[in-house]
Amino acid sequence: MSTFQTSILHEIQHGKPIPLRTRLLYRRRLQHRIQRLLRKAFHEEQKRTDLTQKEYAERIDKDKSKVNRWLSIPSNLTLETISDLLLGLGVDLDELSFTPLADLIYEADGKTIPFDKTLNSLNNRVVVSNPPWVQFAAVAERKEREWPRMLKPASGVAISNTAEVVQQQNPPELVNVLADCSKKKTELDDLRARMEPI
Amino acid sequence: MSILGEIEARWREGRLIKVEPSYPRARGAETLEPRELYVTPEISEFLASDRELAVNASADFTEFIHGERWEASVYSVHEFYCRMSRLDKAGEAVWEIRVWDIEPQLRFYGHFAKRNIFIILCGPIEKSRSRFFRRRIDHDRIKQICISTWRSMFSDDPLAEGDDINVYLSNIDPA
Repeated sequence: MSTFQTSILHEIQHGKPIPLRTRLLYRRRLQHRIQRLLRKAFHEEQKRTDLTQKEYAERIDKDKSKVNRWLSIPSNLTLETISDLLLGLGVDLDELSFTPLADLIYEADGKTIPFDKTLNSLNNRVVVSNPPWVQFAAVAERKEREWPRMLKPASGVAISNTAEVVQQQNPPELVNVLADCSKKKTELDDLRARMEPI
Repeated sequence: MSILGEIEARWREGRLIKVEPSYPRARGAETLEPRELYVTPEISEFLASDRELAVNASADFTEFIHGERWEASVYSVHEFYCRMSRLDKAGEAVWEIRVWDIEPQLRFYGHFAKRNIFIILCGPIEKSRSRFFRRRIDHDRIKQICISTWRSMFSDDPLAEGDDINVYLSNIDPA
C-alpha cells in the first residue's frame, strides 16, 4: 500500500478535510468506471443488434462525435447524460452498493486491518483485526454470493442453489473451491458465534 | 542480466521510479492481471504535483497498473479515442500514452520492456484540444529521445514483436 493511500485513510478516519488532490483522483476514478460501464453496455448492444454509434447518437439526440468520446474516454458526465446514454442502450443500472474504502486499501495490500484502527467515521462500525484465514473466508463468502450471477445456467434449467449449478456446469476444481469456501464459511460462523461484542 | 534485472537496477539507482497506484482497485477487479509502469524522476515529480493535469494522469496510470480494460492500438488510426498507440514503425517500438478530457491533453512516450511492463521516458507533452492553439508534436524528436534514453539504461531492446496488440498488453479494448 502506498503512503499516499495510507494518508487517504488517515484523513477519512480522523474526519480531516480531504485534500483537493485526493478528491480529484477519486473523481477521475469514478469517471473511468462509468466510461467502462457505458462502453461495455454499448459493445453488448452492438453485438446483439449491430447498433452503430451514429444510430445510438440519433436515438438520444446527441452528436455522434460526443457519443464516441463519452464511450472512449473518462468524462465528467452529468447524471442526465448518463441516464440518456443508458436509456439509449435500453439498459438499467443494477442495484448500486458501496464498499468501505479502508477494506479495499487493506485488501489490496494483503494485510489485516490493524486492531487499533477504529473506522467509525468511515463506515460506522468497528473493524477488528482478523487472522488471515478469517479474511480469506470473508472473501470466499463474497465470491460464493457472486458466483450465481457469474455462472450461466443451461437453457430451461432453473437455478435452485449455487452448489447445484456449480456441479452441473463447472469443472471439478471449481466445485472443490466452493466446497472449501463453504467449510471456511462454517468456521467463520462458528468464530463469530464465539466472539464477544466489543 | 535480464531486462527485469536491469529495470530493478535502474530503480535502485533512482533513474527509474515505479509508479504506485493512487487508489485501490474496485471491488470485483481483483482478478485482473496487474501491469507495471516506470517513469523517470522528472515525470514522477510531475505526477506528484497538485496540478489537475498531473492528478488526472496519475489516475489514468493507476487504471493502467490495476490492469483495467485499456483502449490501445498498434495503429495510428482508430475508430474510438485511444489511450495508447504505437508510433509508426514496429521496429522503433515507441508508444504514446494519451491523457484525455483535460485542457490541455497530455502525451507520454516510452517503450514496453515486457508484456504489461511499460517504461515512460519522455513527457509530459501538452497538446491543446483547440485547433487554434494546437502545435504539431515532433514525433521524430521524441523517438530519438526515447531510443537514446532506453539505450543509456538497458542493454536489451524494447519489446517489439509485430502487430498483435495482445503481445504487449492484457485486457485490451481495440480502439
